Amino acid sequence: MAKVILKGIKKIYPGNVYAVKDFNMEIEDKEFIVLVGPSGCGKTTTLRMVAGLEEISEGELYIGDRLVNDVSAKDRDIAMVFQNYALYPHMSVYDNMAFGLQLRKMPKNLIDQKVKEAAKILEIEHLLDRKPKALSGGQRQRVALGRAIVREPKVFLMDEPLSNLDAKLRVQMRTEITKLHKKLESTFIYVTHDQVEAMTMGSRIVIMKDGDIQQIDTPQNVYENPENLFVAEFIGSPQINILHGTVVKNHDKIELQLDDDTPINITEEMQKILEQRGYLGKKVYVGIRPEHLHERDIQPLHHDFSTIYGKIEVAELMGAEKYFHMMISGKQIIARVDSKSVKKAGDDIELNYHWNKVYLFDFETEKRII
Amino acid sequence: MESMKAVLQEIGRTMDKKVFVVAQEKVFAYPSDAEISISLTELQENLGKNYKGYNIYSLSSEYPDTYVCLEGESFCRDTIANLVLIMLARALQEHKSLHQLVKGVLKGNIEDEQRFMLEEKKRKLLPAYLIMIDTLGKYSEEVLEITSNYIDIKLQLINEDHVILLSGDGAIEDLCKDIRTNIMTELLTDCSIAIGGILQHSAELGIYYNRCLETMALKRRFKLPENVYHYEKMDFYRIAADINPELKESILQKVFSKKFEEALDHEMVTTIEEYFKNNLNLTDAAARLFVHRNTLLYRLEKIYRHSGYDLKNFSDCWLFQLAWVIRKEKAI
Repeated sequence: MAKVILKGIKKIYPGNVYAVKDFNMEIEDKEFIVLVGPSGCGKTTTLRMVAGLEEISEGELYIGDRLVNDVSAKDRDIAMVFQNYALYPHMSVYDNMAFGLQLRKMPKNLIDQKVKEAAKILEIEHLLDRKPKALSGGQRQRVALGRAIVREPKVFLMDEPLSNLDAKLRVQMRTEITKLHKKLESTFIYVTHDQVEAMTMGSRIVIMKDGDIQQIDTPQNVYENPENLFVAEFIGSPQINILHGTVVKNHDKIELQLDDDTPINITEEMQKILEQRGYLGKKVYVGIRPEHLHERDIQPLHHDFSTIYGKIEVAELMGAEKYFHMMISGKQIIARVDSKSVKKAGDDIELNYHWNKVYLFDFETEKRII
Repeated sequence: MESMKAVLQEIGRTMDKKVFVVAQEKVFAYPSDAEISISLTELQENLGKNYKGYNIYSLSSEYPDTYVCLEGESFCRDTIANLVLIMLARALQEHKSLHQLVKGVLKGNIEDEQRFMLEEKKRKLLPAYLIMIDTLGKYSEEVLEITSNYIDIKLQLINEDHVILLSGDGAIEDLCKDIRTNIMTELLTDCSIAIGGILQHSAELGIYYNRCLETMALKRRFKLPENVYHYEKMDFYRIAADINPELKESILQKVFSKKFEEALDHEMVTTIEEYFKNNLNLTDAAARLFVHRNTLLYRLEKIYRHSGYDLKNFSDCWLFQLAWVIRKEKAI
């Protein structure tokens, strides 16, 4: 069993600087957890505290049933993989994977068994005699993973392992690591700044900012139900469109009036919530994801929708879809439409959206209202 | 221990026999992947005998706790065995001598400096980078194993709580970062690495060693975030360390007014750190912070409003950065 429990974990540096403020989470055995966020958010510091490379200022850390705050890193039954994997250049793949076990004075026959098992899992048995310079980038990354696997840890900790790879290799290795997780049936805690990695790899993702957890949830929920503006903007590519609006009453209907007086309509239920919570007359952030803006001529909507109008500034053909960049109410927005569209830069466009696809965020707290 | 390994290889190949040298916890073997299944206690008890297919010898009277195991069917102390022991003892003596010399130089012993100069000329150790690795005294032997397998080592030894090495490799900063990664991966412990510079003459050994110590001290003093530092890039912190306390306090008070301190939140701190780390490049810093470039500009504007210092302006920025590191130095 390799459950990892973080209770009130804090990291405080001299000068009362809180790198990690109050991290609480229970990671189930065999879960693949991704910590994601911008630089300085505390994700690597959290990982290092789990590893034992960084002292925990406050709080409790459990690995399995054991409180490990004062347990040294080498006794926590963990293994780490880093961004620059630094394989020993003059050693074969076999020796690279065996080296750590030799340092721990493990018997030769046991080392041999573990290295061969790991090589089989990684499908690199045919590479065991090769030196790193004779390997491709992806193969080297697999050897780096092999160095961790031979330890047979309860928990794998990965600190941005794909950051140094080119885009194509990163996509390939994402899949490899996901497959590896299934094969090994171990707990993985993975740190990245890349929201695409987080969304595609994690069973749950932890979005962090300024030392705080913003949201912990499945990738789908984080995308569809962001708890605040930061999460909504961080997750999703292209980024969610955010406009400024004021909650106004127009006859008996509550709507959002953008800065240029463009009305944004919402469902009756959303109108009730805004009124009940006292948002009438108040400013809010209005979010609409690019894929929820439909070109009227290509993908007409039939009910509970409204239209906004814009002039396309830039049209990008992405293959299966097009991105239209335009200004609406003084803000740059992007619409993601079908590639069948014949519109181009300079054209006027009518975009429809469903009322229930509008996200609203409190202007002061940035927390999601609806 | 390169000379010991080299001599062992020579002996093993020539005699076509397995050879082990056991020095306390350390075992040198030919072939290098051979394993010996004889404990220290068994070696002590079977000294001067054939045991488990090996003739057990003591290396020399100078190294009574070092054993040599030579593959054989029956024990004998013939000329060949004596020659093997002499060669191995000399290799060990050479290795220890050089290490003792270097340690003496680092302690400031002038006689050792002279002898090291002669020894260095013989062995052609220089030019080489002088590097110091600080693992707080933990796992020093294992660190030696890691470094000797990763970079070109001319000399390495443990001095007090540090590992000191001379390396002839180029791209030394990147290699040191890799060494740190390997130390963390294999030993699950972090370390700091200081690069003293390229040692051209043996007379500079003490100077470059002190540079490494100074670099480590500056890292601790100013709570610098990275773990690999080159002395050549520490001038800013050396100057900051040398400023007299009254002037430091005055600079600190000037930049960090009460009003600014109260306004300084986590977002501002991260923004400042990232802006400096990315060498004042707005685009790079914004990307790392995951904000729009305009958002970063807004944040810098906010810092300007609260502090009076525009970080986009050089004459404001240099003083602010100086005050920033002084502030970190003071933080407890």
